[in-house]
Amino acid sequence: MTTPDEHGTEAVVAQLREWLRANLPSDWRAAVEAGDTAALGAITSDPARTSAWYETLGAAGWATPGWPTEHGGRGATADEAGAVADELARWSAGRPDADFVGLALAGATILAWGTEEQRQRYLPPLARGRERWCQLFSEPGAGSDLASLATRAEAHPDGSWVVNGQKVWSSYAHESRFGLLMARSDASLPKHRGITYFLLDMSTPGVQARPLRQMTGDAEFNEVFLDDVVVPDSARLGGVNEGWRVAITTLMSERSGLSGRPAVGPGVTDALVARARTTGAWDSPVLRDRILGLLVEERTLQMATLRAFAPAMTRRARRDRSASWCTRS
Amino acid sequence: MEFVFSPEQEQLRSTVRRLLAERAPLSRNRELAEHGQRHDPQVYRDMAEQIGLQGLALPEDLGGSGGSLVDLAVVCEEQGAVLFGGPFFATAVLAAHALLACADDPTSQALLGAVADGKTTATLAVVETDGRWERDGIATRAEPLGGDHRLSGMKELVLDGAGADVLLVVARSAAGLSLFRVDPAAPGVQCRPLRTLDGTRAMARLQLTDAPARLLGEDGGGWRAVERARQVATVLLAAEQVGGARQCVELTAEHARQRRQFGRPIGSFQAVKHRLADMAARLELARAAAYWAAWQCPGTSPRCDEAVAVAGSYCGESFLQTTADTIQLHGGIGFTWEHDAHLYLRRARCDLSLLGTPQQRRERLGELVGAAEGSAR
Repeated sequence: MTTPDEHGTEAVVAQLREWLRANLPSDWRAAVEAGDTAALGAITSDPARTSAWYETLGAAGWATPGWPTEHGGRGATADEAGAVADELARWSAGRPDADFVGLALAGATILAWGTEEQRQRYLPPLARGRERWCQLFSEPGAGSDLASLATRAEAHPDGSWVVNGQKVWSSYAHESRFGLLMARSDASLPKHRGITYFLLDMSTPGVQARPLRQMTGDAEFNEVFLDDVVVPDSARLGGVNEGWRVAITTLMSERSGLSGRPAVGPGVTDALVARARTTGAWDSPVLRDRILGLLVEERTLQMATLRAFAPAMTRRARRDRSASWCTRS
Repeated sequence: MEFVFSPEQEQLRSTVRRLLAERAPLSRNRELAEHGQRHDPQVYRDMAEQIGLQGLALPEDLGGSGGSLVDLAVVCEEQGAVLFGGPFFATAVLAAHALLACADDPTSQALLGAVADGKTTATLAVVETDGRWERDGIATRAEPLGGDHRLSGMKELVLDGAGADVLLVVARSAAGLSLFRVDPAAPGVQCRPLRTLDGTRAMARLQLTDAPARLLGEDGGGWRAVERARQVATVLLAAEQVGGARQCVELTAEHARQRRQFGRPIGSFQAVKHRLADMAARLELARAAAYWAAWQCPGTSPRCDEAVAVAGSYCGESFLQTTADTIQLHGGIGFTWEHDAHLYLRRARCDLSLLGTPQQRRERLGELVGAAEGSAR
């Protein structure tokens, strides 16, 4: 085993830092360096400022470092892409969580399955933060058993599709320009084989997103109603009735994306320790042992995540770098 | 970054596994334990002569092969899987790493060479009546006599104490805690085997009454050797526990596939599946914690100490839980003497006191997290 400090990402991070020195607006940089959260908040909550920044970031490939260079990325390995995300986060200069579906899921899926025309249409605006994406997978009757989904897509004689059904738990659907849609195109086939995957334009008549209020008080999730929505065949991703395979690419990207960049070090429990010290809970041996038990579990999970990713990362590093974005196997 | 085993490590694993399967399978280790013998000296010698296991992680200039602690952890995992009870852990782990901390002493060097050859077994005697690995728990005195010393005191939980060729004893001299070499055959040395819950490991109580002893390393510098040995031993004990837990998961999964009730294998019932899945998940987490720590060690950085504290806390308790689940999922047969399940439970329970408790490791972790606050790691 080699030492865990050898991430081999220093060169990419150095490039990014140099680029940020030249491109990050000076008041933005100054606010971060001074720790002036009020000034930084004013900048990052100004849509005019952020959309200009996302254009610059995306055009340089730093919003999508893991994508191949010919599609506006930088051909970075997963480790390098993780280091880029960390560095951008340090400057509050990365894309918001709401863009996760677009950057991580739609990007990987379109790269893996899209026609050249589709890649040219969807990827550049995605990289530049112009279009938000959502996921239209789960339904009221299809949760864990996703393949039992009932939303129908009927082929019209003119080649287009008519979609009817209901989706749920769609994050940011009310703000999205496009949706990754799974629909049943042939009910006579076994459930995994009768599904087709579409890139749905959310402004199509018949698409209605209704926010669901969560226990946090926020409303990120939506119910999405699809009534006689006409979808052109050019928005189909992958073959007819091959949607399940396409969706696997999306789901694998989601799994690896949500587990985060594997690293062992301070996490949420460290914040809990710091808090317990200020409240005095730390002085109770019983509470201290319970908190430390959580810390042990958190660290162990981090180690296991690192270990789970290690073979894949080793394989990726050995493979042609330009193919490192592809999760299809 | 690679947190995966090299082909050489996989090769080492299969070689050790094969040797143990042929010469020291669980059935044999159990038989030896039941007859109070606990190990077959020929197997121990062959481990050194045929594969060089005792010297695996010792430096080449001291007779070893310069391997890493990950290599040694692979060996310990395999030994833990079959509850191997020989003097390997006491000698090649505890004693060897205490000796490495004072390796500029010629006596230490000679001893390390003999350990690597498999010709000499040794152990480290540290804790006393309170069982704590703390400086203030050491009351054994060392009085100078000519060029040597005389030790008096009592040591508890001495692993392989009654069988070891060489005893390394920590005692308090005028300069502070120091490490001494004691010949078990010398006058004033009494080593009494202890009957413990875990019959597969030999444990002894050591009574020293003006026993002749030779100082190893620096006078007053003995605790550093103890800490080094304990750090390495904690990690390798965690590796043994991973092996034991792995065996429990395999035994139990196999039972769930074979055993039929209500006309189906019991493994098809969700209540059984969930418990098995939890056992498997704990095993994966323990494996990650143990090998991560082995990868960071030995060392004196907070990162290394933290990894050891995490592995020591997680692997011990999760192994105990897994042995208890093994018994439960085996139903009635799991509660019998005849079945092997209780051997793992006994090993897991005793392990929790061997090098300090999981609670003590978490306390250490608490100190480390506090120390790291505000500083970038």
